[in-house]
Amino acid sequence: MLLRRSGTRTQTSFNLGKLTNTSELTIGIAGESTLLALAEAVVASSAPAVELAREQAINDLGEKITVEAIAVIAGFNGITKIANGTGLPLDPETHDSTHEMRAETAIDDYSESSKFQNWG
Amino acid sequence: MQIPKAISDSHQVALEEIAGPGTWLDGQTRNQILLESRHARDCALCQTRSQALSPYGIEGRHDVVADLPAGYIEVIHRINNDSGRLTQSWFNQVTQQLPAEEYIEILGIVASGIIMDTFASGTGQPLLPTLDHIKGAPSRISNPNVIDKGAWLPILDVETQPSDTGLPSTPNIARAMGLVPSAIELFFKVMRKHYQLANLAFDLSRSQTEMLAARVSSLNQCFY
Repeated sequence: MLLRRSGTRTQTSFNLGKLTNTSELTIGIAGESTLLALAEAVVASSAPAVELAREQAINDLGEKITVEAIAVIAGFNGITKIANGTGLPLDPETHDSTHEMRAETAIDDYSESSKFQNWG
Repeated sequence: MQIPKAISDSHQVALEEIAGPGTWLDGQTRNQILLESRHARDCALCQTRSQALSPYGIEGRHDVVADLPAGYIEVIHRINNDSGRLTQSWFNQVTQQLPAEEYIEILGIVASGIIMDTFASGTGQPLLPTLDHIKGAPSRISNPNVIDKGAWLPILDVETQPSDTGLPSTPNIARAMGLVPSAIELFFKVMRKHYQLANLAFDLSRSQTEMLAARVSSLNQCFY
């Protein structure tokens, strides 16, 4: 939702389906392929893959942005555990304003009702 | 790599707090939780479960390193390795083995540790060692200032206003561990140096930041 709002502020339209691999199109953000590869490697935590992705990011974006990107990735790797581990529902404002985006990205597949349906 | 001082300082502070008595657990136990959390990432049972269509039909024993109750071990391992497929039924089962407040304190330590360790491995640094634990008894006082908002646990009861981010001024994620405010404080001391809704002094653009946040949330199967 915040990515969509970020695009609204800069009058940019992003293809959000790419975030959950429901689209082959690019999102439309500078350095996205490098950053997404870095995110996937860091979350998967395979040392050789992390090293490769990090070197690529430093080459493409510079060391400072690479460190900042890893900081964001690490932060969200932690905060998602809080949300998942407490069964946290969306804030009402978010729930009401994201029907279309959730459909586009298939994020509803991760909802409490969907998890209940799959795993009880 | 040049690590921002604000980030490394926040990690050091978190390790100091983890080593001290919490609200429900003592410092030695809290350190053990962090060590078990690091060990859990290589647990064979968890890896088998995470590759299965459903993690709930596979029995076995976790690979453990710490001397902790079975309920703690299950929480630490599942939060680390398959948090996206946790259900309320699972939560109800584990909280028959431990108080909800202890569950929250464990969750806060594990999630804070995941941030620190993911950052270390991402930047090619060694994991920071745990510190000598500080003796002291936890108060074991539950925060009564909570409210049911549909999560598995009651959340912090605070006034919220709409903000210009589109989120309420205090979003649910900042209220999620409301029964144990010290767990919220520990976690956000680290988290705030990695991400903020506004005023994050990074060269990484806001769009790049939110793209990474959204992708990592998706990789963790996080609805929130």
